[in-house]
Amino acid sequence: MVSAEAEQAERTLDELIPVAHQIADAINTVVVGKPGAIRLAMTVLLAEGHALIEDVPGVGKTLLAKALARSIDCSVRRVQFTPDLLPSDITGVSAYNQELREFEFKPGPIFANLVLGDEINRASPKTQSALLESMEERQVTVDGVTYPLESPFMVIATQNPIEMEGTYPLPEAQRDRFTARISIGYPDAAAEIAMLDSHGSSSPLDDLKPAAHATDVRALIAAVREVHVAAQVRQYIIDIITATRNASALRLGASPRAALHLLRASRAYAALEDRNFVIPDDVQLLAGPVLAHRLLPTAEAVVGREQPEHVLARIVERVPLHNR
Amino acid sequence: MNHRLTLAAAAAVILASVSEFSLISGAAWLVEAIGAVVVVALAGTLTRQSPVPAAVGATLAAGLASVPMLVAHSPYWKATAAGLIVLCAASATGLRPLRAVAGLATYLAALLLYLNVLQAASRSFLAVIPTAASVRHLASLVQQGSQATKYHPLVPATHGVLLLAAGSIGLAAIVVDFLAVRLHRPAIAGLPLLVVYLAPIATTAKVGGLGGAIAFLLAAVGYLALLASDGRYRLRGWGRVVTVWHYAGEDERLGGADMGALAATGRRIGLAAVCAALVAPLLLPGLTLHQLFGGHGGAGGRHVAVGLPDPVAELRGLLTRSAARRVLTYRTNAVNGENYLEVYVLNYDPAASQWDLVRPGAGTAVGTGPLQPAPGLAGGTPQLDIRTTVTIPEVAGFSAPIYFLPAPYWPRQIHVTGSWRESAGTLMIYSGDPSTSGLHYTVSSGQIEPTGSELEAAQHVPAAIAKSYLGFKSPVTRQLTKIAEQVTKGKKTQFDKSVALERYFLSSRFSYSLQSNVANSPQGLLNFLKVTRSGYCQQFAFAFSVLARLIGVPSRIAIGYTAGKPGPHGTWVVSTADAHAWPELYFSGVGWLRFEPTPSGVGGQETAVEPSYVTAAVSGGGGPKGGGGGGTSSGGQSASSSPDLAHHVHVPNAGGPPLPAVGASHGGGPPVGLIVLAVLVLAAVAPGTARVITRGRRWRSASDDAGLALAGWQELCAELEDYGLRCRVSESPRALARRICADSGIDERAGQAITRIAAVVERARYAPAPVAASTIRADVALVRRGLARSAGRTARLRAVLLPASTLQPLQASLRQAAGLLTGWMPAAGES
Repeated sequence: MVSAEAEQAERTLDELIPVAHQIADAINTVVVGKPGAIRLAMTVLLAEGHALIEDVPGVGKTLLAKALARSIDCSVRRVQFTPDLLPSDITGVSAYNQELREFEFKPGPIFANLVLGDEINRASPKTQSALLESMEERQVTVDGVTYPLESPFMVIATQNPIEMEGTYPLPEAQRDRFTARISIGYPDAAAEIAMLDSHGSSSPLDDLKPAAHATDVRALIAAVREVHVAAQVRQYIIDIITATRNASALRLGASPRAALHLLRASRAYAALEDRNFVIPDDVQLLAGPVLAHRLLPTAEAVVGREQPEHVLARIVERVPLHNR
Repeated sequence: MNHRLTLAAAAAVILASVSEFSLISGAAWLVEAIGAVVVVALAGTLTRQSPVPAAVGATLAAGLASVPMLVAHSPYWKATAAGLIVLCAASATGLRPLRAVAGLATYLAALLLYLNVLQAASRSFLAVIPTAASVRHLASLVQQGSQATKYHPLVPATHGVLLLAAGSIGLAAIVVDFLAVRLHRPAIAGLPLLVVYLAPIATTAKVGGLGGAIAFLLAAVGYLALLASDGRYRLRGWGRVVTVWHYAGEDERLGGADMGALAATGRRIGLAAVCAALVAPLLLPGLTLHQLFGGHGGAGGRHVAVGLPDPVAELRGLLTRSAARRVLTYRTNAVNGENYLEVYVLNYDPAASQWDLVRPGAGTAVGTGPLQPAPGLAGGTPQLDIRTTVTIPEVAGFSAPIYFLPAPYWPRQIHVTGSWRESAGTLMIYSGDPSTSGLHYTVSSGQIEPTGSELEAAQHVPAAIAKSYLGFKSPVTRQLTKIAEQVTKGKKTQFDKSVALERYFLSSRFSYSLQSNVANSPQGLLNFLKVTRSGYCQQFAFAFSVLARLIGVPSRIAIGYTAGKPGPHGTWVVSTADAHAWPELYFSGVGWLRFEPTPSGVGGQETAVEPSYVTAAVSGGGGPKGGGGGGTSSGGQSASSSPDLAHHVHVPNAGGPPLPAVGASHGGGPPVGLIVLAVLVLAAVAPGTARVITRGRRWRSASDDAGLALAGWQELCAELEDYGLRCRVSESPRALARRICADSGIDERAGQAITRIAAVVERARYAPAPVAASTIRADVALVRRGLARSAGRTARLRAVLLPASTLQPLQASLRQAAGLLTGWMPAAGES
């Protein structure tokens, strides 16, 4: 494994990007007609981030998550978040081994390359908090012992924004750890017919073969870090972040972590576009998915039915690009 | 406490009082007036405290201010002062009538104390508390100040004037403060502000012009600010305006934005009103500024300023007295009867179409030293030194609240008691002190005896003289000019023409009659020249002066006395019958010269004398055509004619241009038009030229690929802007290219060029290394041609002649300036 990685570290972005496209194509065969959402999910993967897929029931949130997981040859665990789920159900427990007469750590489902958290907002905040350390620091501490998580590590959580009965909204700290929120949306008519054909008889998910190995993904992530970001673009990112903090319709602006996530996601997106440099268009396109779920509107904005997405769109429209 | 409103009221009074700059010289009065307004504002703030502190303040102020009354001998004064203090103290109970009295007492007492400290500190107890002496001093200052108001503005800033100014502005501030802050009626507070602002208009002060506009702007801004701060206060009373609906795309500032928008609307309305007030008079041609009192009515309507005499009416009154009365006697070393005593100088007022007294300006004080030099008089001109000692037993002749001293022209030095001033230009000597009876004074004057060469020299009329003393406009100008040209036909020099004019009036076709009732108007003048041909000195002088102007000689009217008749013991006696009007003409190097068109001797103005230089010219050069000869002139008894003069006048001066002054003023027309045209053409081509220059400079300054890409991008944006396609601030190169290709309707080749430019710019700006940008200039040219093809003819023309990219920064800065004024900023600077 180590030798393979050393060998792959030499591989350049140009060589690796086809791998990313293969993964995307593989998902595309399962999730029909949603290239944008897939591109975004791939972006999050290459940006070493975590994705929060939020949409109404039945549009394929879980399908997208599973397709992404299956298209990469790596360890995948799935957690169905339920109200009675406990933190130790995620992180793992130290159980007493009577034979060895000592406590033995039983790793939870978090110990995987890809973790699918389905209906994450149905678990209590206590359980949701179990993800905090692992998502940010890529490690788990149980009974004073810290266990590192293997790279790549990505949490793909889904949640349903409509159903409020028996759900716990994600705490701000948790939301801030998700790199992007992906909305899938309804497919268009042609895609929906195609979907009826393909999914009507059998599940194409079962036929999905992994398109890449975890080592490829690791190399990709390493290569994406080298994508060039010009000083103007960095300034532009900071301008947008600052604008969210000053916007009067927002109670809470974007955090420095959000700025970092936006930068990484922009790099990944540029790489997926076969570019070795970030352009402001990447930042503009990703500002909504990366930032919107972290922002809190003021009471007046809520009464005015103004979503953070709209505020963000206006900010992107107004923050000047240092063009001239 | 509404300090903002108090401040606004005080500022409004100060701004309105700026217009008094045209009344009082210097700026000291403004400083003192500001002090008075501040004191009043502080007193007003005190009266608006809760009853007990307000009562304490009122009692203290009233007690201090009424010290002179308390220590007076009269028990009534003592009782009044004590009663006032008790009332002020009793206002602590909070009873409304008592508080009103105490408030008024606070205002007045504070103002009095301030003025006392300002003007009579040395006579006060501890320099602050007024005493009987200090109050008497203030009263005398007020009297002195009101004397000064008789002067024509600008009045000198004496202590009395300063006291009056500070006091009256302070009183206005009291009314404004009370109305605006206490009663919350700022609209009504506009009335006292208007009084303060209009004070100069009620006088003869020169208002209007740029200074007038600035004064108006300041006053209007002050008043509007007062209204605005009251509106703000009222709005506050209702609490904050809460809106639940927030328009998308609007400013994100919730809450406070509503107030701001309202205030901005208010400011915009105010700005529009002020602009309208400034522009409306320009659009209405009939609307000219005129004095409030004594307008330009009909022929009888006089342009009488406060305190200024009406010389024409006075002259007629003196001449038509049933019995002549002695006005003054004088002794002089002058041997001839040409020692006319000048009192008033009149000039033609084109607005009123009549001759009016030249308003004496502030002038200079008459001291023991030499007086002002005669305008236009060159050093070498010969003059007789005349010394005249005048005694005026009592006021009988020309007199008015402002008294003008009879003195020979040109007065060089004068010894007289009392405070006298000499006005600039006209050299009239006047005083606001009317006690001239028993006046005894000595005047040293120079009687100008010009040589012929000086009179023949080419006229070089200074612009100031030409502007003031050459103008004549009336419906009958053409007919009058015809008469003047007929009379002066064949005469070369200006002086010869003037002499011809004088002889024309002295000819037998004109007769002298005090019964003449010709109107002081151009029509009356024509009537006098063509029909009646009968009048007294007024008609002759006026007609002569007008005709002189029409042949290009600056002229004015002097009113005063002739030399009078020789009396006993070498004195000369001047009576009311010697009151006279005569024209004075301006010749360069000589200045103002007296002419005498009025028939003299028996059956004429008895003591009128033709000037020696005119008789010399006549006798030397022969009588003018149609002239009646010297027979009508009985005053030539001691004319000291100079042979030198006669000789020179005789020689025709063929070389000199005949009418330089008039020619210059008329010849200015076509070049002005050409200049205006040239400026317009330049202005029309300037933006397009600037655009071309900018384009060239951009390309030249680009050296490497990155520079070329930058230049290309700037050029592309400029081209698009020229064709009305704006680059948005947040638009990236490829987004712009996409939008332009999709929306603008340019052809495919240009679209591809834009896409290529965008790619090059993008790489130059964001990629680790730029790509070759050698084709970018050609691509930009391609885009320009594509844009031109897709745009209409008008848009093409505008892009060439008025490129928006060149004009945009100008417009933006203008808009920003307007935004600063109105608080109405376009949604910029959001980040």
